[in-house]
Amino acid sequence: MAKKDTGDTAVKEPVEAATLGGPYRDSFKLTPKRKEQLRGLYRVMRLTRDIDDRMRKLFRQGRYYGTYFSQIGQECTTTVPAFLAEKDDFIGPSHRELGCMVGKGVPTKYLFAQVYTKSTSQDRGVMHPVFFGWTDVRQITPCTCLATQVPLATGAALSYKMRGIKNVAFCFTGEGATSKGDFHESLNFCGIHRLPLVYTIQNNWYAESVPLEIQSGNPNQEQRAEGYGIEGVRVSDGNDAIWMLCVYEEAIERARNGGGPTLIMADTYRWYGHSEIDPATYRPDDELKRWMALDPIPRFEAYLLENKVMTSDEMNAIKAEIQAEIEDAVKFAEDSPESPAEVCLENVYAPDDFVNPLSEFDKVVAKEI
Amino acid sequence: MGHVATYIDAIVEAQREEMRRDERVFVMGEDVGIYGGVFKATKGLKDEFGFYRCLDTPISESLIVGAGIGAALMGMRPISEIQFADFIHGAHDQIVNQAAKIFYRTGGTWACPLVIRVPYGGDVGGGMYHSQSVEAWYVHVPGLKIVCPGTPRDAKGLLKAAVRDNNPVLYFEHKKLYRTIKEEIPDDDYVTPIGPAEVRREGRHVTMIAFGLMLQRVLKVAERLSGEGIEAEVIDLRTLLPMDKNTIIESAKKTGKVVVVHEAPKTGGVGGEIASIVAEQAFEYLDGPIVRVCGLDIPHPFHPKMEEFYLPSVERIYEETKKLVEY
Ligand SMILES: Cc1ncc(C[n+]2csc(CCOP(=O)(O)OP(=O)(O)O)c2C)c(N)n1
Repeated sequence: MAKKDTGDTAVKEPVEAATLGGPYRDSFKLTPKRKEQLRGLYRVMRLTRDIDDRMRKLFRQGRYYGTYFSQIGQECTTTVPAFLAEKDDFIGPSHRELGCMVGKGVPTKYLFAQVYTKSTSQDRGVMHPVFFGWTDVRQITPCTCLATQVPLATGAALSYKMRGIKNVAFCFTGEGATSKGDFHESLNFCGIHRLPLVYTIQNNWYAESVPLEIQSGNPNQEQRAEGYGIEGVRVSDGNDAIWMLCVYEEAIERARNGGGPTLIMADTYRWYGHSEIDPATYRPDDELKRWMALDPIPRFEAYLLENKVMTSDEMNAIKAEIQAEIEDAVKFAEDSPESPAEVCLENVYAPDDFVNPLSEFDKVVAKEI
Repeated sequence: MGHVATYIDAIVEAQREEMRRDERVFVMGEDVGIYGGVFKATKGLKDEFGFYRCLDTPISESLIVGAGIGAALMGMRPISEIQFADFIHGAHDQIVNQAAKIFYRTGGTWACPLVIRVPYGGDVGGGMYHSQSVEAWYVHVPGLKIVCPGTPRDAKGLLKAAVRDNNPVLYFEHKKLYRTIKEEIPDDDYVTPIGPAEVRREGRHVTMIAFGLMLQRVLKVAERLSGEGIEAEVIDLRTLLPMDKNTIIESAKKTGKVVVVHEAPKTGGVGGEIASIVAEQAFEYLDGPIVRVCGLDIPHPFHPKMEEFYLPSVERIYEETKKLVEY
């Protein structure tokens, strides 16, 4: 059992950057296609970090109301699966999933419009700042009520299976939300029908202040998969981008080709409090320091440089591009008008002529389990 | 041309016709497939449409509704059956926080065309967990539509309308009505619009408002009152959300006296809402207090004598209405 206070976490010491890849280290081949993919992933991870950092700072400067849930430190668990997802793959995120939005391609300027609750965000400013949603990429707006997205992702996966569409539903929660009934009800059903679903438990060890060992009788939550008759995987270094990439490629391939769902538990760490108003005093002193040494982004950078996937010039160019993109986005958000209050009266009911995405697929092909 | 159908026939017919019309329509719930539903409301659907379009689920109310929502987002038209209304609360979060709010929270870009079929209601000897009328919990939730058909014709028409609606619709079907009423319904495809109430009987002395099983009792009372020279106007609400305030207010203005009848407990029930609408909009026209004849403020009892005592009986509705007319 993992006991953090003795330092006995799954990852104890900083791993040598150039040895990323976990158990896939030896079989992972840097073909030209791979290199291109890694460059794309790098951009998404870097962008996620920089957006997050900027959003935190803007909140602290009092530039928007509400609160902010930073995911700095745990970028891999969201960016990697979202980066691998296809456009029509469903994403059911929770409250700390900025990387899903960035990875799936939600435009940066709309993310900032969202935190500023401006008229230019998808919901036109009626939602809470961090509840980014973007229908164009089949990513449902998160809901504050934990685990409610899990049955939704399950239903999306069910509809894919019924109609023989080769898409996958992705679902994300923290390790805390897995205690809710919706988690069990959904995974049980996914197991019965071998639905195309990839479930990620982002284990950052704390649900607000409650540590994993008093959240779950068995902190190896991936082992629950066995009870549902599905695949369960633990990534004990969820800050290892290459390891994550390989695990998700397998899970996605399994889901897309009728092999059923996968429950992935990836260990990671959030650097800051639950939200910006939480000083996180419940954590042991040196724990953060240990995990900061495992920061996923410099490790990935070191790997890319060491293996000559990218040069530092290329990286710097990307960073500069990202900074400019963020500046534009902040400006876009700040210059965007607020919606008039009456906007909150709209969209309570959908009109008769409304059409949901994917409605045109009308063939039901699944006949039996 | 028409044919005679019971209330439950109407429900089966509506689903069958909608499933034939649109391949995206499917039913999911406990025992709906192999068994055809514990009330036989999905009888024959699995045989005609196959396993996945009439899908037996595990005992998982939150999943039945939540997966319905997810499928609806991805272009399907699910009908999620909750076996008994008493068990719907396991899905409360999904109904209230997901289904009802998806369109709103996605800025009007993602609709939730889901029907939740909910057998409900008493006078069936079911006791406190097989008899409840739970509609009031949901009438409080903007974004939902709620229908409570009181006749076979409406049972079919409203279910078809619900399937075609782009919003989540809670379809409350009354268990007692399943096989106790029948009427001639059209053979051809028809829908009953969600929203408008129906004036089942015109009158000028008193307005009686009901839905579901209580409509049948109110109609009996109106008949009896008519024999005594009192003409009651009977409004069948049919849709509880959005509520047809106009019909209620116009009738209240006309008769000046209003009785609301429902079988759920009085406190916090839909009757209170109707009374407020009348008080707000037709106060100067009233010639007496707004009367609510409801279930008692206790858990729904089992023993037939106690259940009879609990539910608004024809006798109780008659007495209370008579008192108001004479006020
Ligand atoms: C149903 C529900 N209960 C409680 C809360 C309050 N709450 C918000 S986040 C949170 C902790 C979530 O922990 P976890 O799932 O591990 O995600 P993390 O915040 O660590 O990313 C709690 C208790 C909530 N939002 N919803």
